[in-house]
Amino acid sequence: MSLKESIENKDIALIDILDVILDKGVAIKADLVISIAGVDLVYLDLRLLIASVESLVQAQEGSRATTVSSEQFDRQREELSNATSQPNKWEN
Amino acid sequence: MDSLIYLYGLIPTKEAAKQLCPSLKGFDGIGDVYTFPIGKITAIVCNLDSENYSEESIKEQINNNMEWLQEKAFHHHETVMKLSKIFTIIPLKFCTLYNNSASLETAVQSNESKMMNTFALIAGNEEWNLKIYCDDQLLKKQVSQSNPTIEAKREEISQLPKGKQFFEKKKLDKVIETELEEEKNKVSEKIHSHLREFALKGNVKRPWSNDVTGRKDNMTWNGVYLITESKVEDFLEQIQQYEKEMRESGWQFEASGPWPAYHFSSFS
Repeated sequence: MSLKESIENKDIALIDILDVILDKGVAIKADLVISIAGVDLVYLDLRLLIASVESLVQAQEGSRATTVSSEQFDRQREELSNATSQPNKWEN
Repeated sequence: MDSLIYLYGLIPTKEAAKQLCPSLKGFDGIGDVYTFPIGKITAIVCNLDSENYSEESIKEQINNNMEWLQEKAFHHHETVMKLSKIFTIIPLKFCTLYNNSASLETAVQSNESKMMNTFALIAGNEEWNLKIYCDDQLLKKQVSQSNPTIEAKREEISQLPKGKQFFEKKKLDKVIETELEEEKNKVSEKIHSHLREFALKGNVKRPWSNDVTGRKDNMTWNGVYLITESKVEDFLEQIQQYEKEMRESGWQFEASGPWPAYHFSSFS
């Protein structure tokens, strides 16, 4: 497998995604775009929140987990929806 | 029921004509993603119910519903990612919505030439991110041992009376801190400028704090690179080489990609 393929297949952390789609996606004149100005503060809070989720995951899984992967989030979602006994909309 | 239009990204109509858009579910998980040609540019969109997705309700969700945000952020990203594997795509910001197709058309038409230039820049190229981390404690040891000024100072301090030693050591610690930061920047910048040779463009982003990364070691570099497809493997091999050479002295390298060209698509 090429280096590219092995990196490509890695899970991407939510924070990396938010960093680009909230901050860097192209903004063209739209009737509504959740603007940077509006999001900046939220964004900061989010980072803290995500960081705390992340350390929680790390605490649970030991030092192996260094990033929050979509897989880990999926698991958490599953647990949450099981706990609230709602149908699991995340399952394929 | 009024429909809003959610815009994921823009692709050249030429490419849309050659290749069908894959069948993907829209932002609400019910409707479908579809293409909407506007001259030379084709928008990739889905419809959203204007009551459920008003500005207020989206803001409300973003502010108070982390799960919603996770789901939708992944959805947006995954949709754009899938499309970027097939088309040259200008990725739009999360939650870019239009009241109707006329308004979307106007927005696209008035930016057509800039968008065409952007397609020309990003076609056949990939965006890659590199984060460099450094274990300060490890590097500090090396900095303070291999620096002749610091060594001389340390020798000088050891000759002083005990009371004076304390304050002089504090001062020396400060000097070491500063040297450490300088060393980290110097090393990272050198790596960046070398990697830049593989890339068409390279941008420097602000490194994230440990609160954000949740790591013990510090992020010293956060760079994004636009690289021609054929050079990506060389670029990654070079990073792997750095990793091998520098791992023991406390450096770690994390490359991610290929990303849709989020950092190289903006036009202003």
